[in-house]
Amino acid sequence: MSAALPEVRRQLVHARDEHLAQVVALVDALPQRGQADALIAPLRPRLALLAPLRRLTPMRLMFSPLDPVIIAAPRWRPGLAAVPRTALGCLGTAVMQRLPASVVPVGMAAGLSSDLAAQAGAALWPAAAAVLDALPPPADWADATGLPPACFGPVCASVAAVLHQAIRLGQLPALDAAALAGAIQVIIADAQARPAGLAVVLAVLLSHGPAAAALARGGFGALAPAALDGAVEQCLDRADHLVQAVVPGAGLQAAIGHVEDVAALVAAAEHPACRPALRAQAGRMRQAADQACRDRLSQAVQQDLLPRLAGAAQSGAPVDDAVVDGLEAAARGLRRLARAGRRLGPGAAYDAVLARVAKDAGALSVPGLTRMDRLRLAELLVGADAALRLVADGDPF
Amino acid sequence: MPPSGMDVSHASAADPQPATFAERGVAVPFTTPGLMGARVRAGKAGLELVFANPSGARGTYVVPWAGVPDISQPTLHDLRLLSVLGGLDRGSITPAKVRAAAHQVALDGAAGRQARSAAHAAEVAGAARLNATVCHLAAALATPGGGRADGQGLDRLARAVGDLGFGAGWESALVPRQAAALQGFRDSLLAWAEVHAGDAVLARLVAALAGEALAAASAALASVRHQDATTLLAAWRRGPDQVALMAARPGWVLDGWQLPGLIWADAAPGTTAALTEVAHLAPALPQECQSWTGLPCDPALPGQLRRLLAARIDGAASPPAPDLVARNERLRALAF
Repeated sequence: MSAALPEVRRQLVHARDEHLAQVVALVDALPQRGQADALIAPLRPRLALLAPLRRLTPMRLMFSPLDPVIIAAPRWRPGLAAVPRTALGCLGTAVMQRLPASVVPVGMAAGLSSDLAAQAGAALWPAAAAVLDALPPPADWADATGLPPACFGPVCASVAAVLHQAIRLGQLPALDAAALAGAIQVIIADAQARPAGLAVVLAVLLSHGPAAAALARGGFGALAPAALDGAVEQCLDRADHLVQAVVPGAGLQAAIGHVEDVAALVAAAEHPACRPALRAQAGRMRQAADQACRDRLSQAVQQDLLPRLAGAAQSGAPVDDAVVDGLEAAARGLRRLARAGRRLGPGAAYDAVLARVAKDAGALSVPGLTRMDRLRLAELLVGADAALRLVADGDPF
Repeated sequence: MPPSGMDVSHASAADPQPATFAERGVAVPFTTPGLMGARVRAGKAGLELVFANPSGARGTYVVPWAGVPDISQPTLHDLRLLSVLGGLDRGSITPAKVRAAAHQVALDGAAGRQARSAAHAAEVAGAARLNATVCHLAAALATPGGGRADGQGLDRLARAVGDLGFGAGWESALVPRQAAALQGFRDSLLAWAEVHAGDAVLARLVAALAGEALAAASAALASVRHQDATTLLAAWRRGPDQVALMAARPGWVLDGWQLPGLIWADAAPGTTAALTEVAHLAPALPQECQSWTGLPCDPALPGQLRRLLAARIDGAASPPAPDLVARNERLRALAF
């Protein structure tokens, strides 16, 4: 395989999306991935956009709480609040050999819901963390990871630290702001007992927008500056990747989520508790993310809303409920993206785009689209008051 | 400080319960997040909007109807609903009238196509239910001692009592459906409290209020529905207004519970955020309820709930308003 690897890689780079998904599924199914992992390594940015449903293996489930801090091995260096991807296979194999069979889920499929994944993980994560706490360096560490033996300790401690908090981390999205602040305090207090992994736990927290906002609101408490700076640095690096490589090509809902998370992160990173160089980096990130968001908004107008309207206008048949629901979902997505963007830069640019779209949409003649449907579309884009102002006679009812 | 243009009426420290159902007002299914849980009632100078102090402190805000758009940035749906309700007589503010107004607005499509379709379907189902009630009552006329009634009289009686559930498929009538939904909501809260110790007190308080409403609704319902059709016809002939008033009581008692129940079901299997939201919306029964049903209500429950919520209010945040509007419109489609 080694001799053919460059050629196979080249072919994969040019493969169509569906073929790429098939290859990834094959690699996922291998009991020992080995060099097969290297095959898909250069394709990860594209996979992030495609987001194919991948078989949720026990190993992938085990390390899923670390997703925001997993980086390519060549980019990893000691002290970074991140985990090199190559370490996961090596650590995972060693952990799986030591785990009791009762905690390893079976029969997992692609597209497992987050609730079911959390249920399956609830037994797996604490057990895996406990194994990692006492794990000796695997004999194949250097060969499998490309990292020196000295790196095993900090990497293993970082992974263990996140897995110790994995259940709590998974519960954060369901909490309101008050409960979120309390849950974060518990996580940090517990993570501080394992200082070697604290920065990585913080980085996972900061990658979740509401948690980042809650951390900043709390002034970052009495966190060790080194851990905080390391976490912020890692998150800003990840945000740069999201803004430059993922947001432009991701689906609208995914793009909205990324922009919301980046906006919260940037605001947190501008907090005085972070060192000046990071605050300056956050300022640059704010500008870049604002621009990326405005570009994505314009792109979404052209890809998600106007073509649907134009298609409905040209079909000649009266639009049904599903078409109108689709139009409204697209309009809501545009508004939500604009709202996330307003947290990064001046709102006037976003308002102008949405106002123009609302006007253009109102001008199209679409069979079956009622007066109320049009008003609602405009409302979803620019709000009720502005929608009513767009109506010529001023009396929508 | 209350927003300008609002009056704040404070209840007494010992008793945050409203005195009468009319004073409590009727829940309005607004979709604007800032108006959720608000009620309409007839004030001295016209209709008023009443809603609980959002800070969690005691007291309620009272806003003249015409001032509502100035304080809340209402959705198009709510502007339309405000307009329709504003056209009602002051004496016509009942749960049935508000429901009919909301139904009309949904049929216009102001809450979206799904709600419009649901309203259409409810219209068809309502007509079938009315027919079933008329048939049930007409059958009573055919029995010895059934008395006499003309078609118009039967129709009026059927409209007055049809929501309570008579005849074939009675359980699909409005009040039995509302009661069953509230029972399911209460059971779900209690089950949730068993495994969420941190929120158990709040969940059980809301469940206790729901339990009081269920018991009161059951008593109010029994006073009308457990009469056989012959007795009901005779009572109607003696005093139709009295029968209509009695038949409206279960609706008054259950008024305001549909939205929290739908929110809780929408958030299944339940979250702390959803619990806080439904607790804010949970209505307390007025003191008048005891004279209607003979059942006492625990006057301490509303105050306990308010104090618990006030303690949780710091830092509490809601999802962004447009997302909540979308959620509320989705719930409107489930409300018919």
